[in-house]
Amino acid sequence: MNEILEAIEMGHTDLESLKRFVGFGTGPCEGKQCIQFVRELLFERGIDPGIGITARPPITPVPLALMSQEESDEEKL
Amino acid sequence: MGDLPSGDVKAEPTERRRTDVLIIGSELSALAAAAICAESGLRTVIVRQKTLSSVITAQSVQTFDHRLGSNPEIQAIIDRAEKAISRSPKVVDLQNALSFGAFDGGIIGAASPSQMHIIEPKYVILAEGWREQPIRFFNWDLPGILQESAAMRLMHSFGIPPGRRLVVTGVPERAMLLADYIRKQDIEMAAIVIEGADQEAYEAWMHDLLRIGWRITTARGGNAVRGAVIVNGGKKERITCDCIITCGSLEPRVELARQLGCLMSYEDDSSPRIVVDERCETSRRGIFAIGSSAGISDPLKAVHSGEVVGRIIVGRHRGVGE
Amino acid sequence: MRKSYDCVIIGAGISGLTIGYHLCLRGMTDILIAERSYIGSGASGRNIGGVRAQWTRKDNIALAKESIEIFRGLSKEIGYNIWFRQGGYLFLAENEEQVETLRESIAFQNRNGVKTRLIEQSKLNEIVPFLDSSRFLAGAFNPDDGVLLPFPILWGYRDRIIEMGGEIVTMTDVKEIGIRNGRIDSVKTKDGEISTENVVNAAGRWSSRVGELAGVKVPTKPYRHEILVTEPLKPFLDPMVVTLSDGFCMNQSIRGELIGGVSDLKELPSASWSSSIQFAQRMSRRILQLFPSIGGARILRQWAGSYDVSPDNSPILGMVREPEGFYIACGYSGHGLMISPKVGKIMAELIATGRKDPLLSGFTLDRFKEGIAPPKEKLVIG
Repeated sequence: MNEILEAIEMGHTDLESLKRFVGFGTGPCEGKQCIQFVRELLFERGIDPGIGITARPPITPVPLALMSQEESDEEKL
Repeated sequence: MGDLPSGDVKAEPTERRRTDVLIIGSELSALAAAAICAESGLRTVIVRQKTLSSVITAQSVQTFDHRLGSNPEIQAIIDRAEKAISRSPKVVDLQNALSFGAFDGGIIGAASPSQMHIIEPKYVILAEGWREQPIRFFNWDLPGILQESAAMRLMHSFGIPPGRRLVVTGVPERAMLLADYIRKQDIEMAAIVIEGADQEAYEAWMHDLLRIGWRITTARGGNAVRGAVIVNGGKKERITCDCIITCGSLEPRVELARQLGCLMSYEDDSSPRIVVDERCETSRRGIFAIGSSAGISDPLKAVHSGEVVGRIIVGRHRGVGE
Repeated sequence: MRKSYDCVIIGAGISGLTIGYHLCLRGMTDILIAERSYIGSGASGRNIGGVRAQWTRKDNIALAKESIEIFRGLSKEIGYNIWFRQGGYLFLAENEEQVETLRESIAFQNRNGVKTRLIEQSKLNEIVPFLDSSRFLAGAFNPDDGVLLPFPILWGYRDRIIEMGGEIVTMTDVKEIGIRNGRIDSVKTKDGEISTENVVNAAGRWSSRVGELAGVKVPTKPYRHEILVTEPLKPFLDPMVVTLSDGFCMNQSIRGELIGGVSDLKELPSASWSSSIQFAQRMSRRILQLFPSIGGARILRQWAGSYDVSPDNSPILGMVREPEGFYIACGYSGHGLMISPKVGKIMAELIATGRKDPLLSGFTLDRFKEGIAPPKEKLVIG
């Protein structure tokens, strides 16, 4: 939390840049809980947070074992 | 190879399918849309976590209680939808599945614990509902601290009290409804901690419990919650409790919409909303958002939005004007 | 932002920032770095942070070797920990032809002062435990190669540049480049015209477009490359592992996450940064081929960036004949970060003093005309 405030002071005033500096939004929650929080922090300081962090897939973590499966041959629907 | 995560995830072959409509979510609005599409013979894929709706709050329980069947109109809608879904051979109902992203080529990925689905839809209906935001304070992750939706599931769906002496905090309207609900379960309330509200609006029995203008700064306890420290300006108070329930703000799930490139808008409190027109269509043609994803919380209106979108899609699919 | 500068650098990625940093060190502080988005928004902020000296061109090796030495002291120099970890790069061969390629490269590298050695199949697991070595006939390992974190380098240069008097503006696109009498005269942004006599094209995937603004044909093309990251795992992978067949490349970060990519050799050039499901599928399959026991590890996120690829997979550096005052520092073809320290130095020297370091001679824009081209770089990942 303090890190974020410091980073804002240092001039990281857009979400993408803040994210890379502090690392929020990069854990398993993928920013679902913390982005809002940081947007509000920026907002309170009169800084327009902009569009927001580019949402990167996957939205929820997917195990390698699932992602690597071959596709079944059956013609679906 | 001991210490690495095991490769024993039971995985089935990935399924790729083309479909006319993809409906994501398990809200009432999603069911209503699914019913229309299924009855009209469209190829439909539903991706949902069937067991419980995404958020049950005291407010939603008060508004309608489909779980206990006490609102026959809603129950009829659910019955009709489930029947249409199970009857139509063109409907694929992926229960216990979550969508995990939008990729090149209009592809949407979904996964259940043992299988991945790659879906290529012509039309998409987003009905993923709300996500409850946590309220943070020191030790906010101690056992015994629950979000309202989790507490409601325990009490309402399973009849299990979340604790013996509760503190409720968060969004005032919901905190009050929740406190009322808790009292009806005969569970002891220790305090209702909310930032801004009008004392007169609340019933007399609550007055001793109310801490208006206060907020929780710390949860005390080692292995589990034993108390809360609340502050108001220079004042401080310690409250004994074994459970804290937070009523955090409800944010619509918008990640998939953003990945799909739908235009978003930001309210004054800077929370994101999917921009939709009066027909619930997003800025991307063919992608719709209904129910709470479109900011509609009233259940009957949400159902209506689902029906409208279902009909629009059926019409477009058949090449008929809107 | 003022109305005139000695030099305007277009692009605040690793290329532009390193050059800007060295210009300031040389006392040329009247510079502006104009970035169209945020610092490191391009490839500089989207890569795995790999650093290697295993190349098949003498000049590429020289740039990389000297850069590795500079990286070792860079944290102290710029005041940010860049977490440079020399765990080595292991190139893996899956067939006899690839083994031969590796043998030749190793011999060439050894002759040029790089300590790469051949690892037989039976010894591969000493370098990478848990690897399914039955798939690989041999490997090439240079223990001095490594990985670092790109962002701290960018921020470090940014802070030092500003401290020394240079200026950096973000969210500022250069829309026009003004030329008068065959000489650079000005640039134009949304905030107006800036007069300058020197412009550096360090625009990464936009470099051929920026070249056009000055009437210079820069023959690079952007190719999309995707990366995915898993959840943190217990540390088990020291080196960067690379396979020759498909540009698979993966490392384990200091946080324990596996981070890497694999290429689609059939994909056409594009500046797209969107994510494809085929990549995630291909990459997961490859990861599990190499490390079969980690199927339960979950993918946390996926993103894309571009390689700014030149016809011989090697950078385009130096001055152009016309217009005077136009410099190029792009075309890094996926390995710009790892040679940036040396490139930044010699480019700054060229701009500030006019002296052309001999290393620049193999990287001129002119080389693409018939008959002058040096050999194509062969050890390209992806």
